[in-house]
Amino acid sequence: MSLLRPTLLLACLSVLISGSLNCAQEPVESSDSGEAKPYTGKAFSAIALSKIPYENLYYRNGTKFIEIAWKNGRRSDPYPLSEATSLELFIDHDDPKNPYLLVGKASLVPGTKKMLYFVGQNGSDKEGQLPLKLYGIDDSQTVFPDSSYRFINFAPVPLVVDFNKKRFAVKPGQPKVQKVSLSEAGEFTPFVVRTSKGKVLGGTRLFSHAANREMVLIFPPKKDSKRMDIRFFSD
Amino acid sequence: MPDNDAKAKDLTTKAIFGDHIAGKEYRLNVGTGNTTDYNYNNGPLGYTFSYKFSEIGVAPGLKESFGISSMLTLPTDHPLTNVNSLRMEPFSHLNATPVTCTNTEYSYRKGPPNIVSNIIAARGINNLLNIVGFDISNASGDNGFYGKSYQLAEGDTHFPLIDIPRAPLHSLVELTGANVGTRLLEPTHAIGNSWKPPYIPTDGIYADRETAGQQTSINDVSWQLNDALFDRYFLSGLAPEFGYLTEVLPSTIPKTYRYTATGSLNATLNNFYGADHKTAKANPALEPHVPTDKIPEDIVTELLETTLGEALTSPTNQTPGYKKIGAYSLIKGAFNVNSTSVKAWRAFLQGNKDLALESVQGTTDSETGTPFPLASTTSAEIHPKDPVNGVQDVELWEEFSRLTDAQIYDDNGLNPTLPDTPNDPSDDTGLAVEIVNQVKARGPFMSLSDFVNRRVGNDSRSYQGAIQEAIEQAGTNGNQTTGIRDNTSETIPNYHLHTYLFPFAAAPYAAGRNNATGVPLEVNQANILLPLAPRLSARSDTFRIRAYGEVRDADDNIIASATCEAVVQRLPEYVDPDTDDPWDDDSETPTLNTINQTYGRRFEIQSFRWLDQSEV
Repeated sequence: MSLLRPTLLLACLSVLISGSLNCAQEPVESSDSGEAKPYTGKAFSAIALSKIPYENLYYRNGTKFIEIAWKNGRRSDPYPLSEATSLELFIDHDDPKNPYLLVGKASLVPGTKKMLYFVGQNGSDKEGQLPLKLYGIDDSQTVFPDSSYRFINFAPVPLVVDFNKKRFAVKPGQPKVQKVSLSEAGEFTPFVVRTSKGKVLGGTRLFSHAANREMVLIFPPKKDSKRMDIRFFSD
Repeated sequence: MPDNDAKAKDLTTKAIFGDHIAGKEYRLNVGTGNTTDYNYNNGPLGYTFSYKFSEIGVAPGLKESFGISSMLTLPTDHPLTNVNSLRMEPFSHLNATPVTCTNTEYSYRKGPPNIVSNIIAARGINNLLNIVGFDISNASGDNGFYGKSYQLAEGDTHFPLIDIPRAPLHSLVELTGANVGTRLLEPTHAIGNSWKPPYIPTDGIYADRETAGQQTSINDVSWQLNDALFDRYFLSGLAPEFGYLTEVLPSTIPKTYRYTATGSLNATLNNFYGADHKTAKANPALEPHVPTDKIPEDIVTELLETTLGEALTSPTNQTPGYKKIGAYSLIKGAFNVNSTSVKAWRAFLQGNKDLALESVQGTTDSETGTPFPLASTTSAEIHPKDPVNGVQDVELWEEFSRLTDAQIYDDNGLNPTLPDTPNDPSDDTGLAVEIVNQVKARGPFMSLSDFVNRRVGNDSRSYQGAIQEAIEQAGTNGNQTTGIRDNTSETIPNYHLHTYLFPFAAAPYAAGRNNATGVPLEVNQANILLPLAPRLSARSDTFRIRAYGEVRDADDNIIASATCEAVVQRLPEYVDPDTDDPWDDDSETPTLNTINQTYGRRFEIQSFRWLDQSEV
């Protein structure tokens, strides 16, 4: 267990995964009948991996600075990136000429219109580094369909997962998606995390249902805890 | 939520009714504060977690879990918020199955101290269970984990804690599984154990507690039960022939048994008083006793009388059969607890050496050593070792306890680190040695309960009984880095830091123990007493008496001498059996005739012989 130091591997995680997003609020296209059509352009949602140390956090879409509303234990609503070439996060700034101060930046995830960004604190005071670190993954249904689980290893060492009667490795920075045939009402699926040598680190049964995508984020134990820090994010 | 005194008709503004006035948002408040989880045991008094539906993201048309309130019985190694959090032994010093909880016990916090109570606000069932810290087993069935923790890596889906007897009882300690006490602050295995509770002073067996104007008394239940039972009762094991029905139930339990009588008590009693008493399958420590003026048939008839005369208008029988069995049976080979012979204790303790044990599940434990289990169950069949990692520490909670020969007695004659010889007793070690040390320190014991219980007083003998102290001195259970305790729990009790609940807990009191005290593999006093109790006695009933006589002449020279030896045995009958029956009790009001008051029970000469001079 001591090998699993609480080190976030934000930088290690690459752009991979996807998922269905609810309709972004803007921009809205009009159909021939005049009804609003769902936004189908580039969009992102976000998950804060730790408490965001700012009262207000904004991202930029072209010239607009839009506040991100964080949600307790789940991903944010989707936000359009129609005019963005990267994801930039800002906070309020008391300079009238530059009312927003850049605190985090990442490139857009290539090859997808639906992105999920994890946001955490950098933890470094080095000059020139932004205080927030973020990385994005492909969140499209193609990569991460309904009725599936996505395992992401935030520990610094490879782990082995027993899930749905299969055993597979989950390396740091290489999320694994497992499609499961789940009922609409939902069901529990056995889940065990082991070291690469097979020692059991934790395990339980995970619940999900056919219309849900469940993300399983595996972190090293928190300080003074022996239990793996495992967090779940449902659509 | 609105104030308690708000009227429904007044709930018209957001200021009064909160955010859900427009039907869009709800906020759940249970006090003051704002975090995602709250532990009643450790958190501040008065608490709120506060969130809106929009925050938990309930999608239209979907039901979502928005929170969970959990109340879980405390395992031994539950993560604690700080070093001073209450740590106690839930399977020994607390009642694992309490019926009630007094105000004193409950008001320690908002919840009883053996309950881990949380209110969790989080989205999704997986997160809810994860934050509570409760895993669900991946094996068949829907078991959670308990024992050491709620989690797969350390917890157990099954481990024996309370034994439900499957056969007629032979030892009083078998009653230790009965929840004779009812309150939370009472021991789980009260009978046979002897720990001083941390809420009782060393020099007493009661304590008065007053909380919020309510005064209650709290007792040393172990002490009282041992005192009530060990000198007044024994268990004959005489019961109808029986068998087990294997039932097929809609259950995940592999096998179920139901005790079923297949014979009659009459037949069993006739076997006991017949040609071969062993065919009755009674307590093997007993053998029948037929007084000279009785015949077996009459004894069986007497013992079958179960109608209490007091219940009849015209009393016909004041003494039901069960009260007479002591008059018609004897202990074969009773052991005097005042013995200071290490050899004798060693032999007594090793009486069941290498005995194979069959579990309830039908498995057989054929390990070497002397078994001292407190339960007839092992969970090996239900919860096999993990094929990948073994999960050995979990298994420790499930197996039968056994002592090696060296744990019982070791003369250290072969120990190269000690300048010893096998004949030097000064550095002998083991439970037998330490029991003798305790007998010398505490004896003579005036009764069995005096031997079983701690000494009420103000010295080192006041914390636990003789055998429990011997167990600790012998290191039978190891410590936090060796032996059994190295693997059972990493948590040490800290009663002395919580004087509100445990005002009489001195810091050294829990020395050596950890929170898993009382789990199956540990050997505690009740484990040791369980097989020994049927043969224990605080006095002897058989005596070897030698007499010498001589004849001298006028010059005072010995011209003849003789030595004789008689073995006499005390029997249940009084010296004058005509007016008093063996079960007549005059302990409170003298009812015996003068002869019996003076001479008591009858002695019978078992053997007599003249001794040769070489034998004297």
